[in-house]
Amino acid sequence: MSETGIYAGSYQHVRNYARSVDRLLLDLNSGTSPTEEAVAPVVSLLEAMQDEKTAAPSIQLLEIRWKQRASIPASRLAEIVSELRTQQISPRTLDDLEDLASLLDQERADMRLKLRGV
Amino acid sequence: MMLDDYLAGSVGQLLERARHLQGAISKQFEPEFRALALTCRNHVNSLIPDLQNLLTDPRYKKPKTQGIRLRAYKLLVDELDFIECVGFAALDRINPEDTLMTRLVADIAEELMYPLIPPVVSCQSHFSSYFHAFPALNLLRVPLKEGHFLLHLPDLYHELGHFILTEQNNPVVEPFLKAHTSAATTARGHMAALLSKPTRGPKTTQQHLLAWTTCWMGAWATEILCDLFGAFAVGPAYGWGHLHLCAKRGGDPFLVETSPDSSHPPDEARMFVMLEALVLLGYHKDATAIEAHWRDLHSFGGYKSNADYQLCFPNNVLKRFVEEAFAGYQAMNCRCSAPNSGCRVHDLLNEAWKQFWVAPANYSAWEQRKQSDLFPKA
Repeated sequence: MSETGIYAGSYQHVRNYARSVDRLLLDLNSGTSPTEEAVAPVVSLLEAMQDEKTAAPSIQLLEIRWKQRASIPASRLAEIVSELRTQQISPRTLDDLEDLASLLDQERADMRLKLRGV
Repeated sequence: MMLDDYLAGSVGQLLERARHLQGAISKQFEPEFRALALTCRNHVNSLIPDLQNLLTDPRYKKPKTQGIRLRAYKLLVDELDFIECVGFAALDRINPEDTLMTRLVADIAEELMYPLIPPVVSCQSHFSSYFHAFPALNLLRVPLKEGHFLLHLPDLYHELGHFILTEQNNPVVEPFLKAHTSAATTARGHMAALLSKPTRGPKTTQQHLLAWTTCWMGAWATEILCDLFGAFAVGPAYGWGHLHLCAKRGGDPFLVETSPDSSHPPDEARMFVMLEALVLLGYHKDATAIEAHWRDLHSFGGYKSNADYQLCFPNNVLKRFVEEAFAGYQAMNCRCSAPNSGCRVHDLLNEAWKQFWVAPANYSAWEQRKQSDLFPKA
C-alpha cells in the first residue's frame, strides 16, 4: 500500500529488463556474436511490447515510456526483433537498443531515489 | 576518470562488503526466517561473480562498452544496497514481534488458501512507508507496533496481493495476473479513446491524459487489483480499514495527480471498487454503512468530485476491474470472505470493526483483551 512498496515491485521488473538489454549490448558492442541466451530475453520483451492487449502492465508501461521518449513507431519494434532473430543487426537497431538501455537505467535510478525516501 | 582504476578500487570494496554481509547471517534462525536468510545468501552469492566480471571480462575492456560497464556497475551497486538495506536489515533485527507477525501472516495465508509461500514480516516501517511489500525477498514491512492493534491489519491482505502480482511462471496465479492485464488494458483503451477525441480541450489536458495513461499502466491498476484482493479476502474490514486510513492520513479523495509517477489512484476510486466487491460478496448492509461514513468524511472535509476524476475514473472502467479481479481471485481457488467464516483472523478483524462502531469509547480496552485471540500461540 505504501509508495515504497509499489516501487519495490516495479524496480524488480526494471532491473531484470535492464540486465537483459545490457547483456545483449555488451556482446554486440564488443564484437562478440550474441548467444541465444542473450538474445531471447530481449526478443521476448520486444515482442511483448508489440501486443498492447496481452502484455503485462509493466511491459506496456515501458513501451509507452520508450515511445514517448524516442518517438519509436510501432512498426519499428518488429524490425528490431527480426534483425535480432537473424543476427543481422543494423547501426540503427544498435542505437535503438542503446536508447532502451538508457531509458531503463534512468527508470532504475528514479525508482532507486524513491525507494531511498528522498 | 579512468574507469578501470575506479572500478578496481570500488569493486574490491563491494566484494568485501558482500563477504561481510554473508558473515552477518552465518548463524541459526528460527524456521520462519530461514527462507529469507537463504534468499539473501544466494542473492549475494549471485552478485559476486558479476562484480568480478566487471574487472575481468575481456568484453568490458573495449572502449565502446564502457557505458554499458558503468550501467552494469550501478545496477550491481543497487542490488547489493537493496539486499543489505531490506533483506539483511530484517534478518539482523529479528525480535519477538517480527516472529508473531510472521506467524500471523502465515495463519492468514492458510485461512484464505493463499497460493504462495507467505512472506516474512519485519516490524520496521519508516515514517512515510506504512505497510510495504518487497516481493523480490518475499518480505513485508509493517509499522513497529502494528501487531498490537487490529483496525489496520486488513491491509496485510492488500500486501499479499502485491506478491501475487509480481509472481512469474506460476499457472496457479495466472488468472489474477490476466485479470490485472485485462483490466489495465481496458483503462488504457479508455485513455486512448479520450486522447483521440478532437475536442478534448487545451494542450495541457493532452499532457495529463498521457501522464494518466502511464499511471494506469503503473501503480494505479496494481493498487486497485490489490485493494480488490484485500476486499475479497477479508470483506468489510478491508473497506473500514481504508476509510480509517483516509480519515487519518488522506487528502482530497478525488484528487487525480498529474505526475506520470503517481503512486496511488484517488481514494474515491479505491473505495468505489471495494464497495462493489463487498456487494458482490453479499455484504450489502456493510457496503451501505461504509459508504455512508465515507460520504460523511467527504462532507466534513469539503471534498467533491471534479472533472479530472470523472474523466479518468469512470464507473464502467472501475467495474471492469471488479469483474476481472473477482473472476481471477476465484480461479486461484482463494477463499472469499463470508460472515462468521470460522477463520480466526478474518473473523476477529471484522469483529473489531463491529465493536469499534458499537461502543467506540470502549473499543481500545476491547482490542487489548483480544490480543490473545490474535496471537494464540504466543
